[in-house]
Amino acid sequence: MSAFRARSGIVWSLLVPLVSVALALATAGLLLVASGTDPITAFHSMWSAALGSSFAIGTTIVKTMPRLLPALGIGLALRAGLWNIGAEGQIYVGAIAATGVALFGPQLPFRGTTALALLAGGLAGAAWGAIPGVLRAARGISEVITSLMLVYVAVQLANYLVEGPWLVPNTTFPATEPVPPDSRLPIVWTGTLVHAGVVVSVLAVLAVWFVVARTSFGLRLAAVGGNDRAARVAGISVAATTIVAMAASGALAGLAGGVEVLGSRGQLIEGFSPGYGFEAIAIALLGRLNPLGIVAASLLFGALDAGGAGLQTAAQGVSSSIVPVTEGLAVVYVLVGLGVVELLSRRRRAKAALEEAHHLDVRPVGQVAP
Amino acid sequence: MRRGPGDVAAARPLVSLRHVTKAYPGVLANDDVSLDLGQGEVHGLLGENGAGKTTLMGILYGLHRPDAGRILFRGSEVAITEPRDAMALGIGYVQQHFSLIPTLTVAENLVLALHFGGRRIGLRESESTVRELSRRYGLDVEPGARVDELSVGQQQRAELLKALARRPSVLILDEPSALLSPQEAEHLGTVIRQLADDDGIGVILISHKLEEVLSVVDRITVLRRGRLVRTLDAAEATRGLLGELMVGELQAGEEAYERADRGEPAAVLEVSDLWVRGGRGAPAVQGVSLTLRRGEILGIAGLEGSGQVELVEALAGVRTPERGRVVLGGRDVSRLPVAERQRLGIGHIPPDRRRDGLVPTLTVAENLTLTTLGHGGFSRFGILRRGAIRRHAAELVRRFDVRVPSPDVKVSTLSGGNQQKVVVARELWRQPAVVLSCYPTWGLDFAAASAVHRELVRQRNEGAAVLLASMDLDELLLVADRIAVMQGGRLMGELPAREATAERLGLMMGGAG
Repeated sequence: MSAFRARSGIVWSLLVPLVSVALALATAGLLLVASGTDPITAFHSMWSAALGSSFAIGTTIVKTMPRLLPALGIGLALRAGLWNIGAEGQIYVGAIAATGVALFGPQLPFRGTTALALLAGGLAGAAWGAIPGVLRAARGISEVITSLMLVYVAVQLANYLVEGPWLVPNTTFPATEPVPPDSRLPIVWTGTLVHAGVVVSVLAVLAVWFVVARTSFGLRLAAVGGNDRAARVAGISVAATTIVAMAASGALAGLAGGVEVLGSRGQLIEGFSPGYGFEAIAIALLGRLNPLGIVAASLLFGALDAGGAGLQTAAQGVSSSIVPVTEGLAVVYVLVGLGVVELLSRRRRAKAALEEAHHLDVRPVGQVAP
Repeated sequence: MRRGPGDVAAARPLVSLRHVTKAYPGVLANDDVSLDLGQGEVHGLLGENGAGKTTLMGILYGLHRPDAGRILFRGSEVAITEPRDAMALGIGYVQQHFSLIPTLTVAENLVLALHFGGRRIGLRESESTVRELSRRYGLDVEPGARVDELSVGQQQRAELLKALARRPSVLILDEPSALLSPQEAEHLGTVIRQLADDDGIGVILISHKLEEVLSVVDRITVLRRGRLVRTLDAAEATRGLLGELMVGELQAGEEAYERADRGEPAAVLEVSDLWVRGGRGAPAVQGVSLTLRRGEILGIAGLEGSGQVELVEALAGVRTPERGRVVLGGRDVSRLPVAERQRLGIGHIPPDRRRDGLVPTLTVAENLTLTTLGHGGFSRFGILRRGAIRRHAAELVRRFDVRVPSPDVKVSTLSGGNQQKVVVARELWRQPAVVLSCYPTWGLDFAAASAVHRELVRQRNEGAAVLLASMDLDELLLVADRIAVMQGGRLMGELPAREATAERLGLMMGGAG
């Protein structure tokens, strides 16, 4: 009975996202028809650009990484009930730190500089994420507001650097010098753009899964997220958990910034992130805060991104806006779907609890007092 | 075959405890207790928690030294100063808590156990011993199975087997069926009879399950508060009689729980001039001083808003006091965080299980480990020991009678009474020196409330200092030993429970004082 229930829970958590994505694509198809485009042609060109060849698959993977890492972090913080809305800013400070190390740091053998730069990116992101964490823990200030505000600080800091001190002399394109080739993340799948960031990403997924599922810190996160007052009464330091969760969340986003610079872009460019950190929020929700679910959702968004580029080149007159529209629709459908499932299961649970109460609690009373 | 009354008494006793006395600070654990055990006799040892059963058996096994008294073995006096001496005489002890090494197999455990008993055998021999004993007593234990993969019942059998492998002449079984299913317990009874009847082993059986005891033993000795009440033949014992002997005559009316009455035992928690701010910044506790002693339940009566909740929270560490001292075992803990105070021996049942006690999204097992994540053996280097957590949860669920299909279900699916049992189990299983409870039976039905009361009384009887804050005067009159009244953040006075009546307390609570 309960095994069946658990099984059906897993089925739902797979079914809802899949159905939602299908519905989102269908809706997007209707919009394409409405705008006078043949949806079959459009989807076909998207398919070939995202999954049609090994190069296309590689592109999807590359586009997945900068979404996956911050989404993992957002999911981690959300387990503790914390909304890290500011992953975008943490990506930027991570990118800044990684670029700084790669350009001006020591040149170490065996990709030591790369590792150091990634580490710097992660630490910078952690620091940026820890600020809202500390403010929340010490003063009760909403991390939603502060983390979001810090995005603009980070973006403007990057803009200042690439337009000012780090601008290549005698140029106007707001970007730094390319980082030395030895400091970049090497291509690991020849014939594609897939770089060693994919290894970093896989390790990050495993690490987050492990922390969430197998460590006492993971259990503390879940306790604080589930009922922070009960966690506090039970002796768990909610403040420490909050700060560490936000810092870890920021670290993953900062790492994404470093991976993006050292793997894909090769330099820090003004506005290099088209909002990966914000998309990551939707991905984290779509993935239901589960590391594997987040991997799947990131791949979906990566594929849509890669496919969107193909759509623009292949189908004349189609606005690439259809891509974010599809992404947004997918998230909306998932949230609605999950809401419906939750409602149904709550009803079923209430019924089951009633039955159980009848079965279990009716037992003779102990022989205490009349 | 069970012996008739008189047979045993006629035979020369195998073991005799004579006038054994053992005192601990504040408690006389054994007071002039004498007990005879004949060859082939199963002797039930009964008594409430804290009656001194385990202490007495500890003395026989050399775990404790008696202050006075003698032990005779086959008629001659023996000195048992450590378990090794007891083992040499052929005395085996299966304790309530398992002593098997979880990561080793049953056979490996046996090798170790016999090794420490001075007998060396190889793994092969150990395996065949396990098999032979299993067959002989129908114990069904696989020698090659790892202990942590065994069910609790199997572990219990392995534990028994370990004791049997030493070929004992006397076997002490402390609550052997506490964790067993009814079927397993019944089988255990058969095995115990077999040990006595076929092998002539003298068995001392400690148990709380009266039916079970009555169905197995030849004679019964009842202890109460360290004293021997009576030794009687099983034939003349009935459930009712035993119950009466164990708890003393029930007093009239609601006096169902024994009161603590042990003179002036040691103070465990001392609170002086405590000031605590409430939720809206108003002073909720204003200069409260109180002393909580070992082995008593101090009731705090008060209406909503009287400051009870804030007082308890300040003692537990959930709230920081403005001023004043909270001294636990000689140390000022008033500024220590919750976790630190728990480590020092405070258990806390908060007022609202849903709001303050449980994390609804976590499982029963996870909720049961929340207070001991850092130091309960449930994590190593920050990595959860999931097997240990699961086993621990299964044990607590049984021990505290939480009705739940599995410890892995979400705690939110439980009924209120069972949720409260989860909180109670989590806070009390470690037998904290101080138990703080605030409205612990709020919203519970009679059966669930009684279960909580029994547990508080049990903790008290085992030496805990219990504070019970309640709005329910009947509850306080039922279980508390002293009752203090709180009103407007101040303690208005205190009465021994014997002198307290609802009217007198009600007047004090209303502020007439």
